[in-house]
Amino acid sequence: MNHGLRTALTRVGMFMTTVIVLVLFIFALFRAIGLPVSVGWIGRTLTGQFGVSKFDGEPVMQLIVERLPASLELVAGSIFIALVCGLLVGTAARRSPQGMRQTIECLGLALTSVPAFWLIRFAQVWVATHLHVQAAGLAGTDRFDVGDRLAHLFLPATLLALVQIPAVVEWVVARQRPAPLTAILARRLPTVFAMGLLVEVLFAWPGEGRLFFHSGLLSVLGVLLVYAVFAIGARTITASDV
Amino acid sequence: MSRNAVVALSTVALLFVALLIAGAFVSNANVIDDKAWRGDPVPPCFVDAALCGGHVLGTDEVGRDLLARLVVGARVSLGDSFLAAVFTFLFAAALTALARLGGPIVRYIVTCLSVGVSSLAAWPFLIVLIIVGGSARNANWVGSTFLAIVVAAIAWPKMTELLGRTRAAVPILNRFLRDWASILLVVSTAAFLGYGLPPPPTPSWGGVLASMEATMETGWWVPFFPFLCIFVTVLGLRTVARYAFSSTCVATDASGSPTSA
Repeated sequence: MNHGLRTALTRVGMFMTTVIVLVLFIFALFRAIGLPVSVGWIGRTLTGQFGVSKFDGEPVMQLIVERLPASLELVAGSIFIALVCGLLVGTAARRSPQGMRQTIECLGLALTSVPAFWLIRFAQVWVATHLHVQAAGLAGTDRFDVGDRLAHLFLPATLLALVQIPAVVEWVVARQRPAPLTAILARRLPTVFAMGLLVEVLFAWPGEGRLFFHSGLLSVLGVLLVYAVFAIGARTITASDV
Repeated sequence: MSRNAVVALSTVALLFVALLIAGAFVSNANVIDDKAWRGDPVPPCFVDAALCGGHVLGTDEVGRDLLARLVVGARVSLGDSFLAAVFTFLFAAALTALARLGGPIVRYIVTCLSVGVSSLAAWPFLIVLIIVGGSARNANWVGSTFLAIVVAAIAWPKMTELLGRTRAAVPILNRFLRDWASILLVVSTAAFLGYGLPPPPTPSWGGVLASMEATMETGWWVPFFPFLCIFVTVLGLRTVARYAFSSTCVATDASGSPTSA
């Protein structure tokens, strides 16, 4: 068996084992805290059958798939902004004297210490009111308008990018890079997904956020596992030590 | 351990104990001041000494003393997050020992579990808090200790990864302080969203911020001071971790994880 095929099979095996182990762990955890999950839930969950949402009356998987494009659009927009800003700031910091580099490092530390929910709410209420930036929803018109779409995407995607920029800057500035940038971004993906849920619900973004926070336990588990599969996949693909 | 590290750790410990003790002596965190309150948040004394009615940091939107709520809130926010960080360390230590003693198959399963759990949205504990917080409110049976154990059951992968490489105290303390800071942010977020434990009216830093949208225009101090408490504490813990427990002993990779002792 050649090396490429063996690596691919190892990664697929690792991916599948991780998903199965994770579902078993969630099952054990939820049983331990008294949440209503039966043994049959394991098999159904592994095949993507998360049940029917009693809030929406539709299969949870169908609801998730309907909302996924909007969520992925937000996440992709934020990664793009984080890459552009992070690479620019990182390159500037790398060429700057030691003092400036430390200042940028401290700003990154401060930025990641601000409670995300506070920053999002503040930006939504204050920035949108005083700077007249679009702060809610996916679009302002019924027909598809690229400019309008980008205007609505700008503020939520920028806020979501803030959690990724310090990691990109740190990667650019680092003398020894232990992993490629794709692996660093893949490791941050769960954070981005999680903060994305909060951004979506506060900005009335038509993605998974509302489903996650307002549609009951089945939806929470569904969104959680679909996002986990994405994150495990990204991490398995970008891992250099498999 | 360097002198800087000892001084930093002692300062953190002293401030933590002082806040916990101070919280025990404050009894007016939920008392509404009918005399000073006129419908809007009462301003702090440094903003309007005539109107403040003795409330140093003013009151919240229903006339409760903000300083008292923040001091009592420190007990809830800092205490719960610290307890969860301790349990996180214990979980990680147990799983590391299991992986070391259990042979290659157990080690492979622990590695898969670690990757899986850390892929569960990096505020995984927020999610669990929301779910557990929701059930706890209905059933009224979950205490802070139980909550800390549940949070730890999700937060252990990074500590396990580190314990697999080293047993030195300095990088472990570095990871512990950063876990504590992250858990504090998560606990505050859950409280802000209305899923905190114990539920209102017991104050917590995140819980006090829940009304920030309504008070941003009428009393900037209501969203500002709780934010400052969370921000300064998280930044302080991360700064101590980074500069007192990192520069000489721990190399940090680009994602912020310590890589060696």
